[in-house]
Amino acid sequence: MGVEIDAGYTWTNGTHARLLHEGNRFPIKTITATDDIGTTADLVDNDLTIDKWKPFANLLTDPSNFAGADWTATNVTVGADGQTITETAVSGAHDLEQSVTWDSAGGNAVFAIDVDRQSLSEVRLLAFDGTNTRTCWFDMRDLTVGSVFNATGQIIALGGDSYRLKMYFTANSAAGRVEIQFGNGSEATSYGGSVDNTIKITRAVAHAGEASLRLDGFTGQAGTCFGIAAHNLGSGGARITFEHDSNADDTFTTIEAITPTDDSPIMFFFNAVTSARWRITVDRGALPEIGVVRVGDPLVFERARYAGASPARMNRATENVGNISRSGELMGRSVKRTILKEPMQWPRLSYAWVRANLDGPNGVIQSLESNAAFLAWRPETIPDVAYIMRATADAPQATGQVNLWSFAIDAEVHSYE
Amino acid sequence: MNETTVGREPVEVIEIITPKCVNVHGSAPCTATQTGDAKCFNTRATCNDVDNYQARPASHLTPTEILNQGDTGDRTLYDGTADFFASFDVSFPASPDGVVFDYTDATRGLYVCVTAGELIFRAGSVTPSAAGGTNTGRIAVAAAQFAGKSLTLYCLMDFTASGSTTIRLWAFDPIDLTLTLLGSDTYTAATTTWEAGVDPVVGASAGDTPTGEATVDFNGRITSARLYDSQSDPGLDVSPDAYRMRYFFDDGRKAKPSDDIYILPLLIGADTVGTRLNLTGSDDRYEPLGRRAFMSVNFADAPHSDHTVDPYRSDREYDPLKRATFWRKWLARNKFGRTRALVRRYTGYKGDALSAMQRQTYVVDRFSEAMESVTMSCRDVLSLTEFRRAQVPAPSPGKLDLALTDVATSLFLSGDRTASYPATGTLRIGDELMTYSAISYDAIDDQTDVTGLTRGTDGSTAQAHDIDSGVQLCRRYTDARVAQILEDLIVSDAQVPAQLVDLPKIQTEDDENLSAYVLSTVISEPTGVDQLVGELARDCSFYIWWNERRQIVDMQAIKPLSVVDKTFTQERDIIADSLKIEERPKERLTTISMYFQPRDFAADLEKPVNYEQQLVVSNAATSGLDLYGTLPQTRQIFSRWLGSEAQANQTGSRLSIRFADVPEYVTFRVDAKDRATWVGDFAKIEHDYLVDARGARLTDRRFLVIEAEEVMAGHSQRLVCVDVTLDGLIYLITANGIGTYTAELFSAANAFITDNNGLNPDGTPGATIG
Repeated sequence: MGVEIDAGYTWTNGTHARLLHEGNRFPIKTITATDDIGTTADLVDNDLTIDKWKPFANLLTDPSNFAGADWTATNVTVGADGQTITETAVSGAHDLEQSVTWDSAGGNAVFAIDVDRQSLSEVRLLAFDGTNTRTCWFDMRDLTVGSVFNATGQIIALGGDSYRLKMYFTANSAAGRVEIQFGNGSEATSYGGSVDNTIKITRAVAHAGEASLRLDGFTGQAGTCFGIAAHNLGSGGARITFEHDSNADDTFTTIEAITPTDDSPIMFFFNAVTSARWRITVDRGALPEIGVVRVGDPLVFERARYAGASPARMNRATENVGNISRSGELMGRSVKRTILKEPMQWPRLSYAWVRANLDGPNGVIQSLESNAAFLAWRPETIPDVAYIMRATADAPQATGQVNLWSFAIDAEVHSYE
Repeated sequence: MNETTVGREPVEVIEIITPKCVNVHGSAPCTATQTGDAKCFNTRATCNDVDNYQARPASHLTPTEILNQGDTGDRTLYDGTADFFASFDVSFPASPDGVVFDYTDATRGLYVCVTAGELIFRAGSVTPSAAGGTNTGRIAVAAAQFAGKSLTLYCLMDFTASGSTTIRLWAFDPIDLTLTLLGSDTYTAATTTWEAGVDPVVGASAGDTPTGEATVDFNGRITSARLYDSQSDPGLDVSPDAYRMRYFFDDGRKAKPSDDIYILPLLIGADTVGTRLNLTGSDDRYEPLGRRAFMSVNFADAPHSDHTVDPYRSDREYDPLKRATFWRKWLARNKFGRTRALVRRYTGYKGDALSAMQRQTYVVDRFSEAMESVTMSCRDVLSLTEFRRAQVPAPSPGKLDLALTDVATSLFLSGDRTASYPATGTLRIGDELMTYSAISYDAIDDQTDVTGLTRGTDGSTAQAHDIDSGVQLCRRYTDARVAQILEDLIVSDAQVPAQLVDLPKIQTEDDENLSAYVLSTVISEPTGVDQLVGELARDCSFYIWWNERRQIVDMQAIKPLSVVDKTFTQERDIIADSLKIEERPKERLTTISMYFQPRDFAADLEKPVNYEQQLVVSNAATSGLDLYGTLPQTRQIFSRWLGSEAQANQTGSRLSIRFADVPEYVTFRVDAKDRATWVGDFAKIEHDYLVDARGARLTDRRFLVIEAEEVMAGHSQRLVCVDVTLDGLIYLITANGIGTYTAELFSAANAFITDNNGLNPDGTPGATIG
């Protein structure tokens, strides 16, 4: 995802890097979450990517074991792994079903499954809230969303031949059920099955509602950017709405709503708003979670970077190891991924800029020593955002030219997908 | 993603499980009044109300009576019109049966038993016998799930006089620290009282048992029974993590398990040293019991938010991120709970559930702290059998209160020592063994009278003994079987919970392969359980080890093979250039001298002169000027266990066959695709290094995996195997219709009729009836 902007936003020096760090983020006095299953919402302010705000709990039991007692299988068999579903040859409906009590009215509810594509042609998700039925067909052959009824469907690639099939809809707060129905390619729910048709479902998720996280600062400050990291909004198919309450009347104004396309860090830029109250709202996602939220006014570097940069998201510090036999047979290959690397250098900086922005307790150097930061290194043209920590401490260096200086950061990049 | 996925992403997770108090600080039953920073962390080391600390269900309650197996309680202590609660620490045998608790007369009462394969909790009228009778509550669950486990059972009767009464039955697993509600039942009490007119009995019938239920004594072990008068809701909590804290760690890599768990990225690395079997104690580099499995886990230390760790985090006035580091705080909070805490290492692949991963289990031994890291050393469960932890017999506290002549038939111990000595037994004073037939406490003289002495038993000589001489209780086995002794030593003496010992398999191995070993001995001074188990393994030809993957003490008799689990080939399975072969010529044997039947069980058991019997088993097949030479290679075995020449001959012959040739140890690495192979498995190895004189591969050699270690979690593992070809191979007489001979059928352990020369149709040697 990376860089996102408000619809009315215009760039100034858009090729210059932006850095939202400890020195220019807004200090937060209180954090208030409307929903939080772990009472951990305040942890999004500590900048650890392991502590996350998790607004919703999965309403389904045995979400990864479809042989579990709460699932009812009709004309399908569940394999020993609890996840491989095979049609029987019986004519009729072929489905898995579980009762659900939707626990939040009005907001967007979500029903999603993660599948490994196999030979089965179609899947239909069905959600019933005691009054209304919502359905959505998914064609597994060409990975398209088919007919929908009172819902919106989405297919999210998870890598390899794995996909998340998701639909969102509004649900009453009432007892109902969800069904995972299977089809034969013509969007028919009653058909003669085949034992050759299989699909692997690795997880099912259902929950209702939308949730918001409110950040109250100490005083009104002119903010221009939200930073979000360690989230699953992209793979979860969630929507996030950025809001402010500049007149402090507990009525929040929407800045913009976006739907991230991946789980990489986000920097959302908007025209300056002076407010002490900020809020994000998430909905439509499968068990959304967010580890880091910041709001502030990022540093704009004095000059753009041109040569020598490598995008962190592709600069993967990945270790590959293989095992071969003496005769050269490949017996196995393992991948170990740790962090990304981002070496950066800014040449020809004026000493006045260096002193004003790099030095001091709120300057870049000390801020990066103490905490992680959001960096968009060429935001107008390159959408990549990195959540970085400085790995080595480089001091500004005089370049020998008319009082110009260069500054470099060799950064570790965290929370990158 | 699995072992065979190219580009698999291994996941390694360490889990630590520690006990946790189920109470909420300041809420009943917890009476702590502290607030904010002074609140506890639900651990014993930080508890503000120790009396009500409850890391095990109901541990805060005070029992009305505490009884042992066979004890009889006092019925007058219980109000028959009020509620009743009881808990029992029970070790279930492989096939449990019999009365656990009987508090019934011919009319009514409470009753717990195992009947016809079901664990029963019954209350109310003793008739009708059928489940669900109008005036009878009855809970029945399959008992097979408890076989070989040590559990605490909880029974509650929520009594309403002449009205609707509910009974509930729970089981607490002391290893996983989880409580399970096994069942409940509601019935109508027929009268205003439930109390039986008899005293309650633990482990046996009180006289009248409900119709249709077990009447025999319980065949397992009940180490404690706690009875609570008028106890209503004991506050038991069946939430999965009610009585435990689970901490998960990985190294911060992006690949994660699918479980929705909080994983701290503090793991630097985990090094394991696997169990190494020492077959028959032949490898003098290791103890007879072999090398114990070991794991060292290195953690980084860092500031932490206390998220999920501190139940009262929101009440604290301080910012936990600015107060010390995770491990410094954890160690202080878990000063006691970390002792013998369970540690599990999971290795699998990205997206796997932990339950689907390979799992190795250990117990925490110690922590060592460095500047920014903590190292946790873990050992396998059999380490509990070491001398410093478990001795048989346990050191006895008694001392002679008066000097003892060499003919006296009674002796006196200072103070009341009846709790430390059974009703009858064998004693050792100095170098003399003696038996006694009765023991009692004389309160007037404050001494314990031990009477009915038979002096100078078990080959020892009666002697006079001075006042204050120590009086050591001895352990005697008479005609005992291997399985029984192992259960005694490991479960009872070393206190390894029974669910961590594969008692059913030990029993099966004993029945099928070790039935010749009927053993009698006296152990007259404190001896490490590990030494005794090692002696048994050597003398009775079996091996025993901690199977860290199965989380159980495993055992196998040394015997001919019937199944080979896996064939490793150079081309498909063995990582290039990883195979090494080591010969151990010191282990070749030409002569085995078996010394058995000690003359004097109180004398030195390592001296040949102290044995009545000696059997020399020779195998000269590989000795000779043109062979390995004529110098004998002898092994002496001094056995306190073996009692007959037949037993000694069986052990000696097996050793003689196995070590007739120079043992070869083969070490190699395999890819994770073969990670299922582990210690105790049998394998064949086809490799260019294992050939005959003509360079042809030796494909029929059979190996036992004696050591296994995941070198790189989820990627490769190292196996050490020993050649067990000489142990022989078991073939089955084939069923009708299997068809004519093929090499494949033969290698699958099917025997065929051979030609007159004993050869199969393809010229290979056929099976013989031995």
